[in-house]
Amino acid sequence: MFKHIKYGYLLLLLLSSSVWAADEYHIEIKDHLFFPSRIVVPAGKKVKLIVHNLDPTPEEFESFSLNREKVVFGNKKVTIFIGPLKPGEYEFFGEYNPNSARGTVIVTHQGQENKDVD
Amino acid sequence: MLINTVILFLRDALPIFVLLGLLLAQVRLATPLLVSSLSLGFVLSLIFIQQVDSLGMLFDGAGLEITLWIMHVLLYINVLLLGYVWLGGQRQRLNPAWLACSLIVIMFIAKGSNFLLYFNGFLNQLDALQAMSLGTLLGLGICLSLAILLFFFMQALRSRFGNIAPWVVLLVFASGQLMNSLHLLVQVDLLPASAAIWNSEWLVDDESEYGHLLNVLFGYVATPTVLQMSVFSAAICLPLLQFWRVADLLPASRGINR
Repeated sequence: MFKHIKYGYLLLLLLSSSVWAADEYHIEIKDHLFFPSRIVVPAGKKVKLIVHNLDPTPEEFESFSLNREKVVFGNKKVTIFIGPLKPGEYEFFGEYNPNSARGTVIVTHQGQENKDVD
Repeated sequence: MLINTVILFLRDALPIFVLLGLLLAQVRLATPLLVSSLSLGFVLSLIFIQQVDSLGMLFDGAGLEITLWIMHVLLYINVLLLGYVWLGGQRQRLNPAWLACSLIVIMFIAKGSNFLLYFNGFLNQLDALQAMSLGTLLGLGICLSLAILLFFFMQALRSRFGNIAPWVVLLVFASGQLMNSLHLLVQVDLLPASAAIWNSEWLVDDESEYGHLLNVLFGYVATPTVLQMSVFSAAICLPLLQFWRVADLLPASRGINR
C-alpha cells in the first residue's frame, strides 16, 4: 500500500511544476508582526514564500485574495507557493493575531525587491 | 482577542454545525451515538494537532495539505454513500447512522483542529484565555442558532420535496468543501494555479460576514478558478445525473420516511 502512495506522490510531483525552480521570498513573524510587511514580487510568475515564525506561539498565514492559509508553528518555517499573479496588491494576515500581523504582497511588472534566490 | 476568537470559531466551527444541522434532519441519530461521535472527533482532533507538526514535514512540507485534502475527499465520498444508502434503499447493507457519525468525526478533525490549535497556543496566557472562552461562548451561540435554523429548513424541504432535497443540499455543501480544499494542493504546488474565471468581490467579499457564511454553505469564493469550478460542477452534477438516471428505481427518494 505504501508503495502505491509513493507512486501517487511521484505522479503528483511530476504533474506539478514544483520541479521548476521558483523565486524565493522570506517573511519572518516576530512579536506577532510580519517582517517585511511588504513583499514586491514579479507579475505572471510563480514565487515561493518561506514564512519563518520566530515567536513561540503558532500563527496562521492567511490571505483571502491569494487564497492561501497555512499554520506556522512556533520557531518553525513553512513554504507557500503563490502566483502567477496579476499586478496589484494582495493582503495577507496572521489569523491568530489579525490586528497586528498584517502585510501586503505587491505584484509589479518590475518587482524584484526582497528576492533572495533566482 | 475576543473578536478574533468569535471570527475564528465561526470560520472553523460553523462547518461542523452546518453539517450537524443538515445531517440530523435526514438521519435519525441516537443521542449517545451523536455524543460519542462528537467526543471521538474532539479526541482525534487533539491527537491530530499533536501530530500536525511532524505531518507537515512529510512530502517536502506538503504532508498537512495532502492529509486535509484526503479528509475532504473522504467527506465527499461519505455523502455519496449516504445518498446511495438513504435514497437507494440500501439501508440493510450500510447503516446511515454510521455514515453520519463518520462524517461528523472527519469534519471535526478537518475543521475543529485549527481552532483547538489556536486555543492551545494561548492556554498559558490567563488574560487571553478569558477572552477566548467568552468568544467561544458567543461563537457557539451563533453556530448553534444557524444549525437549528438549517435543521428546520431541511425538515421543511424534506416534507415538501422528499428525501432527495436535503441530501442535495448536503451534496452541495460537501462539494463546496471539496472545492475549497483544492487550494491546499495549489499552495504546496501539487496542482497548477489557474486564473480566476470571475471576480465577484464587488457583490460579496470573501472577508465579509456573508462571504464567510456562503463559503461554509456552498464553498463560495469571490475569485474561483477553472479547476475549482470544474470540480464543484462535476461533484454535484455527476452524482445527481446518476441518481436521476435510476430515479424510477428509487422510491425512497420521493418518500419522507425516516
